[in-house]
Amino acid sequence: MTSKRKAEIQRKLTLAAVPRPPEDLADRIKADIPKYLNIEAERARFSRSVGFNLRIAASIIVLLSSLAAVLFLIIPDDAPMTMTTLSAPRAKQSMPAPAVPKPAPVPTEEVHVDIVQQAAASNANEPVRLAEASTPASPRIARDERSRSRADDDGEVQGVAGGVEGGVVGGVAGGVAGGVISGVASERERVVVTAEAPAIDFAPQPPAEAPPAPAAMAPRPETSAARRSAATSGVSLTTEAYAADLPLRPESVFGITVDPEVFRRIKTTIESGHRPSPATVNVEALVNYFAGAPSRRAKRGVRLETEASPAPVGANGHRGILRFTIDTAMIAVPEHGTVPPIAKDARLEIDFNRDAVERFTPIGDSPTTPQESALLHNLSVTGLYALDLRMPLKASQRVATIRLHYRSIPDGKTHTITHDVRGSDLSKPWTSASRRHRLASLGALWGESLRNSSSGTDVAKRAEELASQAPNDERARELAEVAVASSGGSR
Amino acid sequence: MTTTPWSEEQRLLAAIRAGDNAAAEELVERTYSAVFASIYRLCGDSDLAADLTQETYQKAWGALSGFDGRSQLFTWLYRIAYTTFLNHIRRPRRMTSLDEPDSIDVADETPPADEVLVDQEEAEHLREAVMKLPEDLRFTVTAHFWGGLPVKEIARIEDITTVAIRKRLHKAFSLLESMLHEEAP
Repeated sequence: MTSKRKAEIQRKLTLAAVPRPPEDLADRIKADIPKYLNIEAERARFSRSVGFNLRIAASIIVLLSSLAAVLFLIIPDDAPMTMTTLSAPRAKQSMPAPAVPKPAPVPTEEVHVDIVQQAAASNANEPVRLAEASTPASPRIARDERSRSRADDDGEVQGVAGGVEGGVVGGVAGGVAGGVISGVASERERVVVTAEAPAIDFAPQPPAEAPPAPAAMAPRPETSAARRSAATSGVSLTTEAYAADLPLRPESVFGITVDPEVFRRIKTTIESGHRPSPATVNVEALVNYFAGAPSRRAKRGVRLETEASPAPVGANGHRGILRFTIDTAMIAVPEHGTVPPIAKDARLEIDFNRDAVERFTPIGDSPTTPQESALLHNLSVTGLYALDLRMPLKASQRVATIRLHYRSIPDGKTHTITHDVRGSDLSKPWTSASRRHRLASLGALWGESLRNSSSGTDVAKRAEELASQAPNDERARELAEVAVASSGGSR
Repeated sequence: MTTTPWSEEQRLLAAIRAGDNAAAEELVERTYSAVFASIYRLCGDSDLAADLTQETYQKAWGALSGFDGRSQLFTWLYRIAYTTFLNHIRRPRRMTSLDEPDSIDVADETPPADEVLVDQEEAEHLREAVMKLPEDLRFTVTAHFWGGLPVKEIARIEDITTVAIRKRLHKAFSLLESMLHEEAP
C-alpha cells in the first residue's frame, strides 16, 4: 500500500461531512438529566432505607425467637391440646377470599395497513410458496399501466422491458394458488408499491368465512397482553393508531393488511379446538402481527428497515426471505384522538437483481390497487418476499434494492431511503436474524401451514425454540402456543 | 471535538456526582456535538444519530458512578456511544448501498454543517467498508478518525500499547484499500 493511497484514505476518513445536530437535541439530552441523576440519588437513599429496615427486621426475628425459646421451656406437657385448640381459628382464616372480578381487557391495536403492489399482473400457473405446499384461492391483481408484463410460454411471467428510468420495470405479480403473488425476475425487476389514501379503487374483498363467534364457541380467554394493556391503558397518552381513528380512514396504505384482529380470530378458533378455515387466514396480517412495532419507536421521521435471511425451515439453501418494515415516528395521541400523518406521496420500490434472484414471491394476498396515501405517525408495516436464489451468491453481490420515497410533512421535502440486500446477508443462518425478522417469517410460515392445511410441525418447533430463547417475549410465546396447538401438539 | 482540560473535567465530574444539574448541562453542551458527529459517521443517518446520542447520554448518567477517570471523559463517552451504535445495528440490521449511485440515503433533512469535501457517494462507500472491518480494527479506526481520539487514549481504553494501535490502523488501511478497490467499477 502506497503512502499516497494511505493518505488518501486518511483524508476521506477525516473529512467526511457531518450535518449539524438537530436544534432540539441538546434540550432532549438535558431533559433526561434530572431524571437520571435523581435515580442515582434515589438509589442511594433506597439502599440506606433497605439497610435500616433489614436491621429492624433482624431485631424482631431475634426477639421472637427468644420469646419462642422461653415459651418452649416453660410450657407444661399438655401443650399439644392447646395447640390443637388454637389451630381451628387459623384454619378458618385461611378460607379463600371472595373472588375479585378481573378488569375487563382493553384490546391493544396496532396500525392496520393494507399493502398495495403496483406490479404488472400475471397469472403464473406455478405457485411459488414459502413452504412446500399448495394453497387454495387466487388473488385479484390490479394491473398498473406503468408496468405491464406478459405470460410466457411456460405460464410464468416476465417483466416487459419498459425502458423506464433505464431499467426494466417488470414488477411481476403472478396470481397463484393460495393468493401468493409470484414472478420471475427480469434483468432488473422492480416492484413499485405506492401508498395512497383517498379515492381508493378497492376491489371488493372476497367474503371471508366468518370465524366462529367467540361467545358461542367459548369465552374469549383474557390474555396477559390484554391484562397488561388494561393495566396501563389509563396511564399512557400514546396509543397505536386504530384504523377507525385515521383521519382519512384508508383501508390500505401499501396494500398490506395488518389487522391484528385476523390473528385474534384465528387464535380464538384454535383455542376452541377448531382449525380456522383457510379463507380466513390472511398471511400478511399474521406477518404484521408478529413483526409488530419496533422495540423503540423513533421520535422523528420515517424509518425503513430491511433484512434478509435464509428460509426458517427446509434444507434448501437457495430459499431466502426478504423483509422490509416501515416505521414512522411516535406521537402522543389522546385516546380516541386522530393520528396525524407524518408523510405523504409514499412510494416503495423493490428492485431485484436477476443475477441473484431467480424468482421472488410477495407473501400475502391483498389486491394490488395503486393508490397514494399519507403515512401516519405510530405506524408500522412489514412486507415479506420469498426468494429463489441463484446459488452460489457472492458476499458483495447485490440481491435487491429497496427504496422508500416520501414527502415529509414537517419539512415539505421529498426523501428517499435506500437499502441494499447483499449475498452476505443471506449467508448467515436464520437463527442469527433479528427477533422481528424471525417472528415475521415464522408467522408467515405458520399462516401458510393454516392455509394449506398442513401440520406445520416444523414451524411449531422453530417457534418453540424462539420462545424459549426469549421467555419474556410475548409475541414469541404466543406464536409458539398457537403453532403447537394448530399442529396438533400440546404444551 | 471540544477539548476539556483535565482539571476542568474533574470539576465537572465532581459537581455532577454531587447532583449538580447545571454541571451536567455544561457537560452536555461541551460534548454532544462531537458525540453526535461520531455516531453520524458510524450510521450515516442524522435522525438515528440524534436518537442514539440521546441514548448515549441516558446510559452515561446511569454509568457515571463507574467512571474511574483513567481515560478522558470524552473517550469514555465515545465508548458508550460506540456500544450504543453497535447494540442498535445488532438488533434489526440495516443495509445500505455500496455500489449504486442512486442508492445513497438522501433522507437527511439537515443541511451539512461543513463544506462537503468528499463526494457523498465515496463517503458512503468508505463508511460501509469501515463497518465491514473486524471489530477491533473498526473500533480503532472510528475512534481515531470519527471520534477524534488520540492513539494514546485509544491504547489506554483498549489496554494495549500505542504501537499495537498503530499496527491496527495500518492493517485497517490495507483492508480498506482492498475493499474499496474491489467495490470500484
